[in-house]
Amino acid sequence: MYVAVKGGEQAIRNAHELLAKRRRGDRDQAELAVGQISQQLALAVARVMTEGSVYDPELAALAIKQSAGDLVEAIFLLRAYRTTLSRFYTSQPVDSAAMLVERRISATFKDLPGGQVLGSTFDYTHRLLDFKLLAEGDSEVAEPAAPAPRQTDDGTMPRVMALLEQEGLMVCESSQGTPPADITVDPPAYPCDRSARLQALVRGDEGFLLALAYSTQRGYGRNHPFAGEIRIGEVEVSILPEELGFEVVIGTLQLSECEMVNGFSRQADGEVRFTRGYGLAFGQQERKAMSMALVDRALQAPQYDEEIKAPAQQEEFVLSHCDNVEAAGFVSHLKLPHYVDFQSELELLRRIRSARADETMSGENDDEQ
Amino acid sequence: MSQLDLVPGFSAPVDAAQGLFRQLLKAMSEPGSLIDTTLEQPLERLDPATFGVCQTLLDQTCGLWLSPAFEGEAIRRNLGFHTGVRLVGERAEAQFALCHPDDLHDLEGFGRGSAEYPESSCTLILQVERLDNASAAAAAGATTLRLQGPGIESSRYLVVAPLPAVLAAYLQQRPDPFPLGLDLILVAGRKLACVPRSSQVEVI
Amino acid sequence: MSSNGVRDGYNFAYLDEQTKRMIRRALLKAVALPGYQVPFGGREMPMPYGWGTGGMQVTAAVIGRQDVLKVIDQGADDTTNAVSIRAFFRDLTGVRTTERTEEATLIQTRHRIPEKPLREDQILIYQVPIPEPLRFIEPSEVETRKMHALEDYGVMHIKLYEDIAHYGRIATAYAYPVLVNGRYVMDPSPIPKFDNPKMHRSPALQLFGAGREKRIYAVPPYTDVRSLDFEDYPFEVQRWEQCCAICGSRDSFLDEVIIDDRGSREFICSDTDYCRSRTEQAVDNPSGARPGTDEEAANAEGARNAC
Repeated sequence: MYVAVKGGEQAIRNAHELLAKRRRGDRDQAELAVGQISQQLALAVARVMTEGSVYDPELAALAIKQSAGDLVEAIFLLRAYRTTLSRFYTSQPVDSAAMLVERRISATFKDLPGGQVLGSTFDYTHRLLDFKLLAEGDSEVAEPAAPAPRQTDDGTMPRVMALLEQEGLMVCESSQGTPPADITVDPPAYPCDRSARLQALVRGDEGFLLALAYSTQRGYGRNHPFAGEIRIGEVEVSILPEELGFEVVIGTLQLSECEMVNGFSRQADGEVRFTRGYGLAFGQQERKAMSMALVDRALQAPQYDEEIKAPAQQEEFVLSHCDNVEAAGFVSHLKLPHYVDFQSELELLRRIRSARADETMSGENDDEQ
Repeated sequence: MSQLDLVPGFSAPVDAAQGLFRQLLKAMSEPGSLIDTTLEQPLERLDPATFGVCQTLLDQTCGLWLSPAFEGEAIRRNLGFHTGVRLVGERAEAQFALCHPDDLHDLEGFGRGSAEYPESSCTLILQVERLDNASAAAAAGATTLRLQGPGIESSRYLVVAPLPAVLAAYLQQRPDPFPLGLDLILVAGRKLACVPRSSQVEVI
Repeated sequence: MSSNGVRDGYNFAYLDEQTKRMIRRALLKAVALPGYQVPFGGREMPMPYGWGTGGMQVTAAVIGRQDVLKVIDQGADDTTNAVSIRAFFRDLTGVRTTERTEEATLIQTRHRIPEKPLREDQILIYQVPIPEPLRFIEPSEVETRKMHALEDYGVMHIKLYEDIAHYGRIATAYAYPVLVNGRYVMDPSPIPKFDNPKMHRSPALQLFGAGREKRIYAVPPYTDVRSLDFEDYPFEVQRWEQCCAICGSRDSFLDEVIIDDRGSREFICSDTDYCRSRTEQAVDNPSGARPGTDEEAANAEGARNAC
């Protein structure tokens, strides 16, 4: 007689113990500290914070440590933690024009108020493995003499887009005055509110958005982009508690912001203007911010009466598949048992085949008669 | 208004809200079933069951339309304190409406939902004087309803006193074809019953 | 653990009260609109999407200290994901759990309806991967929402009809679409079509949660649930020529297990509680016929092989 195999709970416990052991690796190596991750793997931390929707470098670093460097898993850990947090206040909009700029480049103007500030970047590095980093001990890193950004008179660095808007060459973006959507509270309904779309894109998987952005450059929804401006730096976050009646600064965030200048289009007022796409991410994440800006512009196709024929232009397709926590969960769920459904398919397939065999048989009998 | 004007809410909010929600879920999925909430704490003119339903379902994300009979500082203040609900002046903006039978001369403006999003309709919470099941002798001013449809094995009877004429007519005629329509939570004292839009209603 | 049996630092049943309220409001709308998918602000849960987060959120919003919870996956209480979800709720609510269908007030399930008929005041909570029954015919949410609004289910009938043209029968063996209360076409979740008839006018309340897709829907007790079919191709459920190798049942859904490398197979009940209770009955009642004896097998309609 058949005896069913049991033992789920113990098997799960064993698997988790093995996971913890593998994560720790060879004990001859010093254990990785969360501080080391947040300081030395800051770009991974930035991605986990952005797609995990929580600005907290320490928790993001913890998630990276716990997930053994699997960033999609780390993003999931941070999201699951975020669910349990109470919302006390909604911050005031951050002002990226008032950013304390660390890096700012424009591909559209050779020089502009505030100037080009390279800051820290992989750009123009030669991608040669640096074997010096193999050596144990602290490598000597000279402190570069960073030229202070040339800020304008009022201490802010004006946006490239604002300069184009002044001349009427760029479509203007203005607040609709309504509170922005929150897709973590109300699931997006299509067609989507712009704020819901941008929120979904910020949380969206960098790899997915990168591929879609790239596809627009290769002609699948081409939108003639110029990197109008990319800026990275610290901005202040403030809240406006009703009981106080005035704004209180509660901290700063490091942000990467990208504004794309895109191909011009005739507007409702008859004028021709450049169009634009917007990208934003926590920390230093230029690739993400640029990809997001390209996709944001592609998704504006209906607004400019552009024919929607490429994947990057299809809002429901892009937004309902860009979240890697959702996507990874659903792909991985195929590992769960599906005995019952598979059994149902087996039964059906056998039935279809036996019906066909019966038909063939009776066909042969007919021939004999 | 002083602290003294605040009435106590649920003493164990997590369990009380869960318990009352389960009763509401039963009432809404078994229309016409009469539920005794066993709640004791009223809020001024709001009966214990009414106040309990408010604490269980409402929060700052909801718009509540308040019947003129329930307007007043004590109710406004306490609902605000215990739920954070936003009071709205326009019926069309309300996800919930807290109604008194005397004020319900018409049902104009309450959202019926749309064919694509029928759940966006308004839920009416109507506080009446008495709710009974069919076995109770129908007193003067009471209306006996016979309900059929999902959640009901054959039919179920509910006695409501008083049921505003406009609502009786609405429930019988269902002028908004399903899936559009208003869902009704009836409350009286510590009791509650529900009549969702899926029920076919006859006035007997 | 704190004194009330809930893991320290977490609210009862994990979700915060505001999230529970949001889900509860959606549930009340769902029961008022049988078969209609209500959008809700689905939260990340500490388990991956696709692993039952929708069912878990519904369970978390309805569960109370008096409840007795049963969790099954593929009909079984001991499959790894059922074990994991049951442990989660034990840890975060302290409620009593059971494997016995008749003892449970809440049953969270993936892919099966228990064999034992459910009763009033039991709630069956389904984990749903893709709540939209029209999704694989029309991928766009905008379009399927219109179809539901207009009660335009022609595409579904065309799909089923094409099956008949290609395979001689309707080639859907699980997640077989149903019409609820004569109005909404609904996905019953990936239960085998064997289970569909159990949904029809069930005395229990049936709730469905799709976490990743952020939809909740419901079938109140005693509600008509009809499997879609055609007059000349009526709906029919799976049957087996074999009976359960453990309890001898001929009436339950059977899983096929391969028992050696020549591909020999046996069939066992997918519902482990049903199978166990039948085996126990046989032990308690040795004078009575052992389930699955030749006599019972001979009586079983359509049985070709005795066990």
